[in-house]
Amino acid sequence: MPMAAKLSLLGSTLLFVAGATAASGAGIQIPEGPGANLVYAKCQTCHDLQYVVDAKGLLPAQWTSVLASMQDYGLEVSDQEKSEILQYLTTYLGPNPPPAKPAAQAAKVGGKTVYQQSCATCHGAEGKGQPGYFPPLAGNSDLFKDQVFPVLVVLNGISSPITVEGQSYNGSMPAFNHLSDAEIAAVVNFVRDSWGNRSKASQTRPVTAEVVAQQRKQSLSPSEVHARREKMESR
Amino acid sequence: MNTRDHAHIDRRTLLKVAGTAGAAAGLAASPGAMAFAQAAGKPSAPPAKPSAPEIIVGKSPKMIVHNAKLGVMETPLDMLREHQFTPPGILYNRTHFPVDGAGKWMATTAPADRETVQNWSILISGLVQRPKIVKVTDLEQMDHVKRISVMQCAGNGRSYYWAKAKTPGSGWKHGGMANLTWEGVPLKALLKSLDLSPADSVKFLTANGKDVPPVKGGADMIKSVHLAAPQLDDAILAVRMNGKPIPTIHGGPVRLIIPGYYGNMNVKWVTDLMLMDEPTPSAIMQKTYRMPIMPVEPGKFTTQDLTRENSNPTYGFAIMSVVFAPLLGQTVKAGQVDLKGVAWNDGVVPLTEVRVSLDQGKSWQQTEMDKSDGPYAWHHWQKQVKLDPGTHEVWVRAIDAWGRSQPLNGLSTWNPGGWDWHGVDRVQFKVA
Repeated sequence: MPMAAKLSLLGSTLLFVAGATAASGAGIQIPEGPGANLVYAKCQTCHDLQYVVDAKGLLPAQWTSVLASMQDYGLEVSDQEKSEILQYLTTYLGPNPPPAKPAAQAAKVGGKTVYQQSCATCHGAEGKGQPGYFPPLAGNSDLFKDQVFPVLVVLNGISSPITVEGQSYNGSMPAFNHLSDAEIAAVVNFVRDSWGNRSKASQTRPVTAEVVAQQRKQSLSPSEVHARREKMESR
Repeated sequence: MNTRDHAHIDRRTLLKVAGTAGAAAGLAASPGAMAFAQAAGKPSAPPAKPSAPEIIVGKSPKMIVHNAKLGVMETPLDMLREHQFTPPGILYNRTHFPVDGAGKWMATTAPADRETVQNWSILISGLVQRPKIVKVTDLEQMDHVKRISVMQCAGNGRSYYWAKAKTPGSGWKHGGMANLTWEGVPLKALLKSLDLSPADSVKFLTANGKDVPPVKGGADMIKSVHLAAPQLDDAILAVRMNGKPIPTIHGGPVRLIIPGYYGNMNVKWVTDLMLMDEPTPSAIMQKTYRMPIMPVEPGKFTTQDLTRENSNPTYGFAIMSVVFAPLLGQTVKAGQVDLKGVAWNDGVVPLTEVRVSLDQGKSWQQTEMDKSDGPYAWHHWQKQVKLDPGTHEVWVRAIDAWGRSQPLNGLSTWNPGGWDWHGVDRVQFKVA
């Protein structure tokens, strides 16, 4: 299929559900494939994935150069992650992408794996966050104030600035709604159970995929999630 | 399309009923979208691309959005051509850091509030003996000059390069440009009046604005220009655009305006000016927005190969002309057909002529050109031609006093960043 036709197909899918999110919602989809989750996780901190879709067809040397430029712009990736992202981009968004395959059945996933792939860049391998930019998850009381609030944050993202445990953070979190219900449940449970958070874990029930599916039905913008948090704080 | 429009109306109505966006936080989307989302399960229904006014308050919903998170959008030509001075609601935008979250203050066409203006100052420093601070309220009181100039993204027209090979960056058509008036204080006279006592080695002006990278260690949007360039003599610290305080998204309350220079050099929200002997090392100056000085081939030379020796920054506009009528794919009545458009260059020497061809460049006809708005404005050109029914293609080409012109095939100047498109505009239309 010519590229223009593919893009227009993608476009019509997007248009069909327009109105489901408000401003600054993410929502550009990229082809499924190994490494796609890393692109969702790493690239949307600074820009939405329209750039990635628009650049479809770049030659391998050009994608390599783009990644180097993004590192200049502040992208933090390990060598392993960089090579996975590059492999993905050159395969699925290169000049000769393979035909789209039907989505494979999601294998059983552990919350730790999802965390490492999708969350650790900003929140740190040990959940410590980055001062001024991204809040810590270790000892973050937001995790326990409400059964589903962390699920809403993962599904929809949350806008900044926010104050957590007296410290202010300016990084905005994009939506991670490309993750499956099971992946989101697993990662929320993992975070609630790690880095000393376990002592409070009894305050909440473990999240199930069904809970995530239920929350997914209402699509919120990152600023709406932010507003939800303010409300929760003032309770 | 209908589904989209309805969904939007539904959502707006909901917001209206709820009173405030904050109160609407718990509200679900329109019923149609909900049903779809429920049916879809996983993979989840992809959320919509937000429309321009949802990204930047005050923008027309007809703007073509290139990147929602960064607020990048261009003007459809049928709207751009309707105004001699492009109104803020349809003015293209390119910002470099997210306009959501911490960057939300940027995302409006409204000017800065009075308190912000009163607290805004610019530190003028660098290789000078006496650094100074200038307040925007001081600039407002000083004598102003007016510049009428084209503002244009260096990536404007990038998508046309993609016929040869893909480049990274947004797929701009011709709508990443505008014609605007700016009022403010002449830059060089101001620098002189401040008695800074700059070092003899000073060659560059480096400008930084209030916007900051969204992640730690990211390259900042800092730009350096040669003080000796002719356009710097006409540069101003602008506080008004189109006769009003500058819209926030377009750099208000104070923007460096260097007429004839690409948009990225016209630093928004100026907080720092430095007189320097070397340009800033920021990657946004040294890697992005640069073009190799020699022809290069796709995939064999990338933006990472750019150095100060083998490339130039996107400073002044390349000479360019665009067709505003007929528009691409339009059908016009047979007989006398009006060909119209605009042309501009970097303002260093005047445009001398704009020519059109209706036979793929075999023969060219001179057009009438109006240069009354000065060297940096867009100049309207027009030509009436008699055309029979059928499909026609008009080509347009501008020429200036230095003999500079546009390549007949713009792809001959392909560069890895997709900057500076100025190929002869070729527009196919129908006569019936």
